[in-house]
Parts: sequence; C-alpha cells; structure tokens
Amino acid sequence: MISDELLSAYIDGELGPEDAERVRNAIAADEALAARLCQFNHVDALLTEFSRSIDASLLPAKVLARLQAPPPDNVVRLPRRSRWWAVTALAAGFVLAVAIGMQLDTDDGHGSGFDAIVRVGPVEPASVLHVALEEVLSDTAYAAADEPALTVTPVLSFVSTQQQFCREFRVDAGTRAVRGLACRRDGHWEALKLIDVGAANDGRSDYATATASTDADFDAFVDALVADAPLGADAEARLLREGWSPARP
Amino acid sequence: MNADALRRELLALLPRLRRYAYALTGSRHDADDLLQSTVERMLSKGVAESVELDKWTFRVCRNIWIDEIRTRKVRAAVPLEESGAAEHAFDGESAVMSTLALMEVRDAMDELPEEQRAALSLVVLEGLSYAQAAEVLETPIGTIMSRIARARAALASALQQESPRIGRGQTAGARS
Repeated sequence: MISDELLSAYIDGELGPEDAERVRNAIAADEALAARLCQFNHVDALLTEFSRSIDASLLPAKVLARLQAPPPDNVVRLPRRSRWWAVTALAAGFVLAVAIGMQLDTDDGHGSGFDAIVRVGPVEPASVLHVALEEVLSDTAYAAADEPALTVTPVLSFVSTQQQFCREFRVDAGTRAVRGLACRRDGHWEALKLIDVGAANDGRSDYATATASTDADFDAFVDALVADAPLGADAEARLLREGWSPARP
Repeated sequence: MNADALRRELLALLPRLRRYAYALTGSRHDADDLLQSTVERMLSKGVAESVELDKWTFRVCRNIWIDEIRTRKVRAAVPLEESGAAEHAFDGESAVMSTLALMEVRDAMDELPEEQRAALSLVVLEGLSYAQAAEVLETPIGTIMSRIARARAALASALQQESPRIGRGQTAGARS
C-alpha cells in the first residue's frame, strides 16, 4: 500500500533509491495509484500556471524603488523632448524607470527579453511591452515580476492622423534604452519606429543608435503622426479601463 | 554582504519572494505589503555572507507575516480579476487556463491551512527540497512531507469537483 505521503515524496524526488523503486513498481501494477499520481501531477501543473499569473502582474513600484541604487550623474541620456510634449513635466515614474534600467547590472540589456520586444512590427501579445501599452498609464514604469531588470514606460498617448491610438514609450534594460512608437490597429499594437538612446549600437539590433539627428528624426516622425495634442491623463485612464475600445477613436 | 550586493540579490529574488508571499497571504494586496516589509527588514538588518539568502529571506517573510501583518489584516475577499493575479492570463496556444480556472485554483488554495500553502509553495513552486523547506518553516522534515501530501490531496479533490474548465491529463512521473 502506497500512501499519499509516499507518492507525494516520490513526485518531489525525496525518496531513496529503494523506496522510489518500490513506488515505481506499485504504480506500474496499480491503475488506481497511477491515476492518483496523475491527479497530483495535475495539481502541480495548475499551481505552476497559477504562479505565472502572479508573475505577470505589476511589481510594486515602492519595492523596486527601494532596491535600486542611486543613479550615476553622467550616464543617463534622456530623450530630447519634442515641441508639443515639452510642457509635460518629467514625472517621477519616468525617472524611476531610467534609474532602474541604468542600475540593474545583473542584466546588461542583452538578454532575450530586451531584444525580443524591441523590434519594429507587431507587438507580441504576451510581452511586457504589450502589457505596458495596454494597461499602464504614461510616466509609470512597468516591469514584469519575472524580469524586473527590464522596464517599459509609456511616455504619452495620442490619436494619430490615421485615427489610431498611438503611444510613445521607452524600454530600459541595463545599459540599453530605446525610445519607440507603437500604434493600435484592429486590437493589436504595432511598433512603428524605434531608436536606441542607450549604449552604442552593436550592430545586432534592428534599430538605429540615437544621435542628435536620429533623435530629431524620431521627434519629427512622432510629430507628423499626431492629429491633435496628446491625450490628457483622464482620457488615457479611461481608455486603459475600457481596453482601448472602441479600437478607433 | 554589502548593501549593493544585497539589493541586487533581493531584486533577483523578488519574483520568487512574491509568489511565496502570495501563497502565505492569499491576496495580492497583502502579498505586496508583505513583500515590502520583508525587503525593508532585509535591508535594515543586513545579511551575513555565509547566509543562504533565499532561504533566509523566505524565513524572514514568513516571520513578518506571522508576527505583524497577519494580526492586523483580515484577508480581503477580492475576486482574482480585481486582485490582479489573473489579469494577464496567457493568450493563444499558451492559454492553458482561463481566468475562471485560475480563480478555482486560487479558491482551492484559499481553503488550505496556511502551513500547507507555505510548504507547497516552497517545494512545488520554488523548488526547495523538503530539508530546505523544513529549515525555512522551522519544522521537521516529516511534517513537511505530510503537509505537502495533504495539500496535494485536498487540491486534487477540490479541483476535481470543479467544472471541466480546467483541462485534465498531465504526464505521470517523478521529479528528477
């Protein structure tokens, strides 16, 4: 007779060779025991899936801020402001995002997460960038729990000349930082333009290193797309609540 | 361990620590409070180089929960969608579970005694051995073994009675 305790310890690899062999043989000979093993494995799978849903929610900003070291004075390169959002104060959340990105030397920004999300084209629905664009207010840093070294900060939102909702954003990871613009079409976000505003371009990326001219190009690109002034905080908050619906303003 | 190193290590540990805090508290709000308190305690007290940081932090987290937060909080009965834990259920083919299914797991976990949730979380989710979990929870290994088995049995029973929203049929086998 194999007890739940023994079976459970078998699943966890906690039995010695002899006991493990005894459980294995019993499972092979006893259909009910094999079914019980399946039930327990199924419980573990559900718990793992459940824990992923916890990981996908926002990490508390206070905790992230507490764990960041003071930022260096001479490294951060903030994006130059274009004419129509110069009136917006640089919010604390934005500074936080930059600071976190600059300080997390456990990830130099070359990890799969950064390169996976920083690319022109459709934004992967399960990605941290997608979550940030869909659900995070501008000037608020977002980091997924399973990748706290990578932050996405929406900078502003606006309605484009194509009558689409668009958002400028910034991605920070280690020494790398990118400014980007994405627009929402048919329920999906698409990154239209990206420029590197962090470390020098290493040639592996499909976006350009920012120089004074490319930074200006980016601003001009965004400016040309803006139909009107950026959305105010209330309008943006309402759109986030409503899931950017209707898809077209 | 110097302060910078401790901050880095804690940052890397945050996802695991939050999952554990969630298992202890059963609500995202309380879990984040507990996470914050644990981080503050770790930073203010410091940690010796010889300490295994993850086990030590789990223990600090549990002690704070027992000594402080649990006594002054009544667990909020916030639906999972509102609590945020299931708000990013996976899309497409990776969507093994619906939000409703996640709620069922959360509800079933909620019914477990706290000590069973803690043991299960440390072993199944965080990958600690029974000996390591026993150290964190300051209890004999035999007790850990028993708590985990009872927790699995209770969850298997609870989730089997739920609707077939949750898929069945996992591969049998022991963890290597």
